[in-house]
Amino acid sequence: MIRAEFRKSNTCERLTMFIQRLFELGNFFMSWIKKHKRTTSIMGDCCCKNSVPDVFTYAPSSATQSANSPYENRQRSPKVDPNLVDQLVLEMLTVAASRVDTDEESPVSLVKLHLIADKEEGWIQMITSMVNVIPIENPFGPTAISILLDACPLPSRETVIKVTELFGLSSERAKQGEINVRVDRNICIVLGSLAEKLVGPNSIAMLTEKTLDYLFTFLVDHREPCLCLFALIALEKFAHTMENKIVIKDKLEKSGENPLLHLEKFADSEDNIWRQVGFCASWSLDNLFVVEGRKLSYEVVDMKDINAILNCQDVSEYLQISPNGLEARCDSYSFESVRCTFQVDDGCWYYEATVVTPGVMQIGWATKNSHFLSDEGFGIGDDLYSISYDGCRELVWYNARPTSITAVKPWAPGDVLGCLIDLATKEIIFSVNGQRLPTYNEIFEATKYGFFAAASFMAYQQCKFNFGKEPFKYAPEDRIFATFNDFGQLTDEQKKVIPRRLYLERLRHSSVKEDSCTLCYDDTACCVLEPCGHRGFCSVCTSMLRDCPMCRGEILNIRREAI
Amino acid sequence: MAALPRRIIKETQRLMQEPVPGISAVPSESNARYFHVIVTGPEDSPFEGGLFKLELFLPEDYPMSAPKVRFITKIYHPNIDRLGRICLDILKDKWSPALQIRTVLLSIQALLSAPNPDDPLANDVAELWKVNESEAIRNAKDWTRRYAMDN
Repeated sequence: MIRAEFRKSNTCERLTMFIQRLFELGNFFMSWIKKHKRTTSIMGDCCCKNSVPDVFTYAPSSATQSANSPYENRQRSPKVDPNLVDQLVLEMLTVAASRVDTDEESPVSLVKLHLIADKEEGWIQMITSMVNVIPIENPFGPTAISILLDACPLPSRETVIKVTELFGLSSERAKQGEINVRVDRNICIVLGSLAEKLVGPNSIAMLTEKTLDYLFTFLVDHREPCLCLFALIALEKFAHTMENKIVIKDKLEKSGENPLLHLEKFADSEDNIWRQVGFCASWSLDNLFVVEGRKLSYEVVDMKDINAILNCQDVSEYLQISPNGLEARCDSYSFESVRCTFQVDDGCWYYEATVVTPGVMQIGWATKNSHFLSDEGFGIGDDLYSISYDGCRELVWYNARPTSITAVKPWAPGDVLGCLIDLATKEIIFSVNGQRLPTYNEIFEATKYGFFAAASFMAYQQCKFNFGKEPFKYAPEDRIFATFNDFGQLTDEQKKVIPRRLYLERLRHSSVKEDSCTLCYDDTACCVLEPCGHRGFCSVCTSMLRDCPMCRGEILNIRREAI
Repeated sequence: MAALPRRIIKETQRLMQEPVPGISAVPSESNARYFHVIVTGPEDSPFEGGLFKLELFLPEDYPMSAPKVRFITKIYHPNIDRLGRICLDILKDKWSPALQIRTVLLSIQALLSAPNPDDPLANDVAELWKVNESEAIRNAKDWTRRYAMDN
């Protein structure tokens, strides 16, 4: 689960509630801070020792005042000490990565960042701090930038342009001798996240010729793989806006050999960062920047001997799946999930997942009852019907409750997570590079069969799955197990990982029958609601209704009509 | 969770073919559940002349649960808070699966024409709307000019 306070809706609600309280209950706020101070100091570093006055200084002075004179207030607001903002950003990172208890309140550093970012200058300061201080080696860093930007009020057009100018982007900057990888990587992530949120005119305004040159330079001279990667992702996100997409495509085509065609060759690289570059390049070529004459990856990939893959009919919207169906990646700020094609009902089964990135992923087992609530931050391990291990935060998740694991180190790129399910002995056993974690069996109280390999990904995470096509690196030795690949069967059609745009195109051409359910347009309408008598709904939809969709009348009985 | 439901595809198609006057809703290139929405400020309202951007997301269990909508363009309105969230009953407890993206957008447009300070989300704005309506309207026009006309 993504921590409550980082979940989109909750963040907003809690924050607003919090701010209202701030205005209305000054005293209560003081005690809240004190309370929180205690809890945070127990966990080590207290993130708000001298912080109470700061919050008051930077909070809008009073409700009525800000309503009367929004701009005056804006101008009067003092500049926040940049060191303080830097410190808050770093604290937020630590808090996010280390704390796992679902606290009642948001962490103070996050609340304060929100207050600061609410003013346009403060927002710029927050961006500057994120760019300057988020360390390259922090596995939570890229995700944190995405999530923070998503949770803050969006800036005006002027502010966005100002920030873009502030970075001083150009191809010269990208080419200069001594490059600060951290800063430039963070700039690329910020640009991408903003482009994603500000689709439309503001995204166009940001993608000036200089911005484009800057990103493009990283794409063409490969001196730093991580810059190449995040520049490419930023371009993908700019391409969410049609006008930008045309400009970028044009630039790609005019630069001699399309750099993406070269980069996609890295998709099988042993180097974990180049491998990501290759994955993204290939995905862009299939989905966004389609090159005439290039066959789509799914048409050329070798699917021989592959009998179980990630199911592209059973995946949340933004997850990207490799053409062979065995690798997945998320670049969205939501928590994206997928299940495997092969269902396990009895016996003992094992698969391995090699993490390409070190960030938050929850990998394990799920039944079809487990829902992918990607936008709310719920994934595998966040309900009664799934269990997962997250090696970044070192937690086993079941029913949205984490259990800390101390026996192993946090995972690093290239590490192998082993996932074993034994339905005979009712055991689930995870292992990291062969080292076993404790056995889990709680999930079998609710579910006896119908399990699938499954995983959830936070932003910028990637993972490769081995369902038995390759030899396992750390095969369990204490019991006999089977693999999906040995027992799975897929038709040629099921083996095709078709780009999403082509799939949607197909759906659009399908037609709706006249007697279809008026809610899902899929099944035949056969139910009459009583006593109100409204009809036009199928049995599946009707089973989910609480009251009548037409008149909101109570449903006392459902009568099925003969079709 | 499965492939994109037919209902979403068909609703989208109809939105494209017969758009709601004054509203554009375009699904994202990369996510058919995510719509970029632009609502024109209604005539004779303080939002006249403004173009307001919104995001609309269809959750997994749509249409059994309501679309999630928020304003991206800043707006001075008693029922819309500073994070752009909208206080509108059909987006909450009064949602019905018989409603559609189209009806939701129409309701939001109507909310711009008729702000309701008695059911506030932005407390400070609602307060001013009640005690000094002309000043509140002036603020709303100001914000419209500042944030909704620069595109």
